[in-house]
Amino acid sequence: MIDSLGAGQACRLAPSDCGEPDDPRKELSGSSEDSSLSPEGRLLCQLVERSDREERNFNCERMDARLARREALAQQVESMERAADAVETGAWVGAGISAVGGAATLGGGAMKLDSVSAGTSQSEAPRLAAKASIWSEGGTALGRLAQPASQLTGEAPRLRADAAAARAQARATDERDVEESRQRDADALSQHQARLIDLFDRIQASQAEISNAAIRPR
Amino acid sequence: MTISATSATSATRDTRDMTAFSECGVSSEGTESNGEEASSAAANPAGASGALELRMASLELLSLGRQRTHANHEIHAASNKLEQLRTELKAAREEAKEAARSGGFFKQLSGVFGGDIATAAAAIGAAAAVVASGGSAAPVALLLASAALKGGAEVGKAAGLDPKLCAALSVAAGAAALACGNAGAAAGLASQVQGVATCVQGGAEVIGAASSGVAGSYAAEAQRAGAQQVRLESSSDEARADELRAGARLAQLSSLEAQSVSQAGRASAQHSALSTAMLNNSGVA
Repeated sequence: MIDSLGAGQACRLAPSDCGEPDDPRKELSGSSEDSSLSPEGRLLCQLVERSDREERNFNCERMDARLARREALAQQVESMERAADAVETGAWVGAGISAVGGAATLGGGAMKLDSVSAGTSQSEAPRLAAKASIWSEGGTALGRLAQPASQLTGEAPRLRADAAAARAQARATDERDVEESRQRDADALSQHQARLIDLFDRIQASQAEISNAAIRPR
Repeated sequence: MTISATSATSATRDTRDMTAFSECGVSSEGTESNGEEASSAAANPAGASGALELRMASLELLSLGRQRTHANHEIHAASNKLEQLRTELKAAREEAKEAARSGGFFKQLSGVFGGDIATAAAAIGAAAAVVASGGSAAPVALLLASAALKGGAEVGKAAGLDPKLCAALSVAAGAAALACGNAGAAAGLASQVQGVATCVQGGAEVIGAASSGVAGSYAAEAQRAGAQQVRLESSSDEARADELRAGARLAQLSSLEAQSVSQAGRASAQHSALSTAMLNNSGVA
């Protein structure tokens, strides 16, 4: 049967809720301590019960690993989204600074044109030209600042988020390995249990055969 | 009938099995028993044990059938989920591809405006500044600028730059060459060229910056789609594992059911043999 996330949660919170008997002896008294069974039957019952408990434990561990893997994957996705946010932030910060710089340069160019136009007086022209130079230089300086600012606000957080995502991915891979390993263990135990049950059935059948033979008329 | 609710093949077998059980006094619901059978069983201990065995076998079969139904539902649910996840994954891939394509276009645009055009305008502006402030050296500077711009246009063409940009460089080179003859007028023209070039540079930088921002936004979107893909792929893996597990469980249940059926058949035969023997014994007595 497929274990649901809810079952796994229950398993993590309280292992006994994951199918483990609260009192193992109580379960044993139900079948393996049945006095009507032969010693072989009782032994087989005990073996079956033990492997059943182990299988439940493996399933609990598998569900724990699955939950841990889900958490790790959620963290990985979250980190990747954080990295994407950082890329966007960095791009817009850089673009903003660069655009402001470009606008300043544009303003400087316009002032320069104004300073050399025919309508500008001789006394005002140098002042406008100086202003234009300041604006142009300022714009260029801002443009040079754009890339470092973009790296500071975008690239650095992106790298940190990528590193976190890689760590989460590694953890998810580990948990997946654990989950698969527990699944294999549980499957092996289940097969073992089936063989034990088959053996038990055969013993029961042969005992019934013997009993019936005793009743049959000769 | 509960057992036969899952698949056509199992339903056929179950119907057959349940017919056999109803002959032994076990109803298809598995909880009621035939009164006549019960009374005869009470009068006959061996018969009672045989009937009990049969009833237990039928109950086991019913339980297995329910589990099989459950496993079938789980397989169905996992398949549906898998199908839905596949669709979502395809959509996320498409989204990532589209974002990458759009981002690529804006990145290219940003490269042309913020890189090529702005750089060329800055170079023109710088050359014009030299001419404007050079005084007597202006003709030489203009010659140099003309040569540089012409060379720049050719180099740009060879390097695969925007044809419009190369044309602008050629025009600037021509204007500089024409101005070589008149140094006084050249200084005024150079100042104007510098102003225009600075304006072009600023404008190109603004457009380049905006394109760069949009390209970054698309890159982030593509990355988010990648994150979504990771999440969906992991969910798909889980759903696939669930489907496989439910399939294995179903196979196991079918095998157990077959065993139970054969066991029940044996019990039924034993029960009949014992009843006959008891009747024979009582007849002899």
